[in-house]
Formats: sequence, C-alpha cells, structure tokens
Amino acid sequence: MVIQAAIVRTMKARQTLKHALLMQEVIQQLSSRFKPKIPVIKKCIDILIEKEYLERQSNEKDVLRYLA
Amino acid sequence: MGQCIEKSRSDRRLMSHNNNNNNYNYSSVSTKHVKKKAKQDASEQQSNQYRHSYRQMNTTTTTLEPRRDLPLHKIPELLAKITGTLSSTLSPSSDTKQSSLFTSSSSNCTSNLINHRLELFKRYSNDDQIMSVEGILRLCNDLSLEPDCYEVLLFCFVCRAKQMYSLTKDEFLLGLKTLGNHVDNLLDLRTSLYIYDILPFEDEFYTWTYHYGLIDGQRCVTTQNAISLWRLFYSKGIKKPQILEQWLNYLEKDINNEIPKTITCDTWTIFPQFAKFIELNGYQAYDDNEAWPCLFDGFVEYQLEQQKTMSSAMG
Repeated sequence: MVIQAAIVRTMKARQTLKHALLMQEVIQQLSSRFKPKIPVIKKCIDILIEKEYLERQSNEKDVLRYLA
Repeated sequence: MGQCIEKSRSDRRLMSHNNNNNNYNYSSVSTKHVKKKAKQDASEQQSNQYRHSYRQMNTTTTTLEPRRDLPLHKIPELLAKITGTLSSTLSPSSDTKQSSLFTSSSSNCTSNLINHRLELFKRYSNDDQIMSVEGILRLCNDLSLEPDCYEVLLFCFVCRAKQMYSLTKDEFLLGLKTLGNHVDNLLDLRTSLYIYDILPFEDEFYTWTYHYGLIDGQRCVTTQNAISLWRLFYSKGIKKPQILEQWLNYLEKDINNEIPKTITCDTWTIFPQFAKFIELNGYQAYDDNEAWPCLFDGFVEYQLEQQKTMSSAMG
C-alpha cells in the first residue's frame, strides 16, 4: 500500500512519466524507509493500472499517465 | 438449411429471390461492374422518369417534381414496358436489391428492408426489444452455426453487442446493416458472416472481445473465459501469434498455482504487442524490468526454464 501511495503521489506530480523513471523515483522516495524490490513496484503499477489510477499511453506502452 | 426454409412462406419468397442475389456476392468484379451499370441505368431512368412524368402531366402544372405516387423501385419495370428494354442483370422481383442500387431511395424501399430486418428480430426476441439467450440460441440453430463458433462472435461484434448472449433491437439492426445493404434474411446473414472482411477492424474487434467477455458487471474477465476467447478470436482469418498455444497452455496448466483467477484488461490489450516482441526477439530478449504486465514475467521465466531443460536433456 505504501508503495502504491508513493506511485500515485509521484504520478500526480509528474502527470506522465516513463515506466523506468517512475520506478526510480518511487525507490528514491521510499529510500529513507525501506528498499522496495523492483518486481513488487511493477506489480503495484499493474494494480493501479487495473484500478484506473493510471493508464498506459496509447502507442507507447512504456509511458504512464496519471488519471484524475 | 432445410429447416430454415420450412420456417415461413415469406422466408421462402425471400430465399428464392435472394438466391439470385447470392450470385453477386461471389463474383465481386462483375458485381462492381453490374452495380456501376445499374447506377448509370438508375440515373438514366431517373431522368427518363422526369421526362416521362412531364409528358403525362397536366398542362396546368409547370414544375417538374419526382412523382411521389410511383414507388421508385417499380420504375425500372414500368420503363421497361414503355421502352421495351429491361436491364438484363436486374431481375424484376429483387426489390430489396434494387433499393440499394438507387442513390436516392424513397422511404418505401428502405422501410421495406428495415421491416424485413425487424421481422427477423421479432422472431427471436421475447418483447421485441431484446433478444436474450434463448432467442440467440434459436437464431444460431436456424443459421446452422454453433453458438460458440467464430462467426457468432463476429456477428456480435458487428452488432457491437454490449453483453454476451443478449442483443438489443438497435444492435441487431446495426449488425445487419454493417454486413450489407441487402442483408435481411437468414441466408444472407449466414453468407455475409463467412465473407466479411474483419481485417480493417481487427484491433477494435480484439478490444471489444475482452469487454464482451465480462459477465454480469464483472470488472475483469475470468482466466477461463479469457483463454476461450483468445482461442476463438484467433481461430479463423486473423493471424495467430506464434506463441499463442504456449501462452494458453501456460495459463491452463498453472504449474505453480500462481495464475490469477482473472485476466486484466491491460494484460489482454498488451498481449499482441508482447507476442510480436517475442516473435521478433525471442524469450531471451525479454526484460522483466520493463513495462510489461506482470503475468508475462512468469510466462517468460517458465518458457526459458523449459528451453533449458530441453537443451540439457538433448545435450
């Protein structure tokens, strides 16, 4: 949940962001607390896409967009 | 198809003259030629009609107007009697076919077509607004199609049906209209489904199929349903991804009990891209740090293990 919150916070600030960069930012944000594993962050991103907090940009599956 | 012809007299009448029309469907080149010629004939006949009606008009009327008492689709026959010629390619009894050839069809012709379609719908619906499971199964039976065959999926797509095994009147009418201007009976419907060119709409068809698979307001399609839909979608003209069988096997076997019960829309949507990537680059090139949906990570891992055990067994 913490990870998901961090993802949403980051995306809200950036609006669109490349997948790889999003991962970096989230790791950075949480670095003071713990070191999240990449597969876990990826799973969280997937969940958020499914819940429609985020979406993939059409034609560019690597770019994520924040959904208001 | 014999059982369909027994259905009603009106069907038999429609079937017989539609047999003439079916000859058009298979020789597309000559059809185009016929249509062009018929269109030219139609416009000639239109201008003939004006001249003809002018001759017959009282001297009191001075404005030339299309005669509203003459149904347009009867005009070729009337002109034929007058001029002694009849376009040999148009048979006089194919009313509905001619209606599609006239550029300005009177409401008479198109309403004829719509009436036939509505009648067809009414035969399979309970309340004239919705065709439910039972009606659709009867329709499939009359069309000699299995309810879970590709053509039925295609038909529901052409109708842009929102729900599985349910067709509203508007959806049904849209479907028949999309399949062809002359489609208003079972035989034409069946034929047009087999010859319909889906390729321009392949992506839309793919996306639509996922939403069609949602049952009773589900958010995600169950894995079982997704597997069946994937199989069905790629079962005919649409190009099957090389890895499709491997993918479906992976989902079905569920070796480590880690396959989720549902497939997300995201996974479904990205699958064709994923398949193409693997075809071009192979499983080795897959990077699970990239933006692929998580389910593919497990699949690629499994495939790589398989390849390893196979090569070590041979080596």
